[in-house]
Amino acid sequence: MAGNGNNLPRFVNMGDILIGNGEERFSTVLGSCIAIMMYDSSKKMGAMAHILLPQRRTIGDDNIGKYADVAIPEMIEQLVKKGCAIRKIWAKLAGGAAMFNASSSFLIGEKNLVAAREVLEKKSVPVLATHCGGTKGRRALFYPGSGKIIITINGEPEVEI
Amino acid sequence: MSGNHYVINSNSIKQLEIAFKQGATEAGNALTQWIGKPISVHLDSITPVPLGESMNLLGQPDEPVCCCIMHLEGAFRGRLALAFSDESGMALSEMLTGIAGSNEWGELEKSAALESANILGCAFLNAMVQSAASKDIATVLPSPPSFHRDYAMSLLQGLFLEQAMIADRVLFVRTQFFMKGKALVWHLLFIPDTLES
Repeated sequence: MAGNGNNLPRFVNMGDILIGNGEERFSTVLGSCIAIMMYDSSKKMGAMAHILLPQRRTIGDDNIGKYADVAIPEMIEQLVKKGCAIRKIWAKLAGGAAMFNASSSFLIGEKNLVAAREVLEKKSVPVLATHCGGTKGRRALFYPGSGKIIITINGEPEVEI
Repeated sequence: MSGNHYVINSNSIKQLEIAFKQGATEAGNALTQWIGKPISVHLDSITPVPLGESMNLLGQPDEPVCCCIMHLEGAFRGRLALAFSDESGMALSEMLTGIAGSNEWGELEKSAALESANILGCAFLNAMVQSAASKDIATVLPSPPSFHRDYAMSLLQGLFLEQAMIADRVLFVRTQFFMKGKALVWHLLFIPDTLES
């Protein structure tokens, strides 16, 4: 599933940000992490990030795709560089589950979601849909050329958001 | 160890290695008694790896796997997880219950897996506490194991989250299981909560 072959979606690992269009497909698997998907319908171009935590720990940490507060501005910047207009970009979010309730960090998924929403609001990017929370993992499949997003929870029917 | 922060260095890894070798022996003995077949448990690796690489530990990221997880509290916080595929879990259940042909995770199958994880985990922790090299973890308090079946990467994100909050590498201890010389597709992972490089 996770490959770069012609028929396979490109896998978006934790901390990755991918930009694409045309017939490309991006996929990822989420627990407490959040997938941020952005799309500009006028350019038919999209971006997907897989963030792990709400805020960057230290300025020196250059793995900016891991953190909501810096990954989102980076996604917007990359899309704008490719010719997208910021006012035409929308976002959809998936993930942020509380995988193990007994864990002291079980709220991190919710914190990720709150942080992502705050940064998107600050950047005036509307959030059109979310598929977040709960206690189960998710698989997200994103078509950056059309904005289509398919979410699957293990054992349940897939849904489009 | 420094407070709740596990420090990665050659000395701390050596300490874990001693403790877990002892734990593996004890766990093998306990599992042999529980299942009624000779099973040996071997320490496979104690390795700090980049977070991204750790997501392939249990196979393909979107492959559903089962995990029985014990949360550890006390002086040494973290998680102990027994992970296995559906097929391996059902085989374990069949060995314990004598009921063949089951292919769904009902209460009986989950109970067999949880009890196995409990016996295995407690044997490991007892051996670690008794290990001369790990006196400072004598107050480890394990929770009862909980059963989860989900995508491998979703489960691993939950297991490694505490470490990922403060480090780019994660530390885990992995073991292998053998029955009559044949490798079983079970993984016992031990993941300390927090870590400093």
